[in-house]
Amino acid sequence: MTRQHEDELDARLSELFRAVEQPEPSPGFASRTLKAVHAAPLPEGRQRLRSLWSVRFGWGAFTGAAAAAGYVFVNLPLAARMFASMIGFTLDTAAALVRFVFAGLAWSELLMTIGRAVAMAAATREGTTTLIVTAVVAGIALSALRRLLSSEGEASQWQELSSQ
Amino acid sequence: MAATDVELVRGALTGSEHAFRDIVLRYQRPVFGLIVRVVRDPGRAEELAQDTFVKAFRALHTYDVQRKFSAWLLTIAHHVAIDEVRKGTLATVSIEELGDPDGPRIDIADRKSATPAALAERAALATALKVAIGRLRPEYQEIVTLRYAQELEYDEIADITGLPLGTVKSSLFRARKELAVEMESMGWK
Repeated sequence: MTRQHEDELDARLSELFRAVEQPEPSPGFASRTLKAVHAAPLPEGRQRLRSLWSVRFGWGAFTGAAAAAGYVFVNLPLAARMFASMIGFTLDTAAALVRFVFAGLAWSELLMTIGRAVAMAAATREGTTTLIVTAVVAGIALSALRRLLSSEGEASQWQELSSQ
Repeated sequence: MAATDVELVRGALTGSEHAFRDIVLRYQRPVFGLIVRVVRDPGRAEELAQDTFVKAFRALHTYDVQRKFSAWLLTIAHHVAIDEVRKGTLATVSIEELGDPDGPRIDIADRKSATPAALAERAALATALKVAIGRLRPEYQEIVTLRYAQELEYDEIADITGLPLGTVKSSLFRARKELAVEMESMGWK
């Protein structure tokens, strides 16, 4: 068999293979494979795969939490005042704690004072609402922030999403 | 514009499921095609193809971007398939079964634009090719698949299979001859 004949045969076989599609796995193979990849243990230092939806959810939660917090502070002066008074109360309590410790007062008296003050602040409708809103917003924001900080590639994905 | 393999690898390394999904979609056919030629059991081949992608993802940080990604991935597929064969757990498949509709699908390319007559001819050709490949020795089947289905160069085939370049060339030489004889015996010239 000559070299030319060899080359011809090679070309004909290439053509033949191109004319027919190659074997393929059953439908849903990619999804099943990704599930298996998610379940597989990874070497130390490697990041797990995260879906686009979780990234979207993370950014959505973060934006929502930021917007909610902004709304509370800008549009609800009462809530803002309550929050400011809570911060003030916390600082006062800390200062009182220091004073009490140095003055040698009984711990029970200190705790009772704190408890009474907290109860008085939280007993009002506005106080309770503010506490709940603050806790929820803080929880969502922290959770979203944690998700975002866990990946170096997040920023690029956000840009990719923004450009879509 | 579609992302390059290296871009997808980098995306997957930073945790982008989207990027790794694209890698799977891009290479599921070559990986499955290679494995099914070696193990000759489509069901098991699919599991092994899945194992290949899992192993590839776990070792993705070791991938050298200077190397062709397809060759790197197919090397893993080759080892997965060979390990399975060495275990000796695979049932043999008769030549008749190779033409079975439940077997690995070889379909007709460009189905939409072809006429019914052309489709019928190509279907017959696909079946004949499947049978002819099935009659080759398993090691030839793999090399033929890498050469013609994956369109790889000799050195890439040597890299994937771990065979010396000379062996790859001589094996392909013999495989081509056998394949031509088989195809001719079925009326294809």
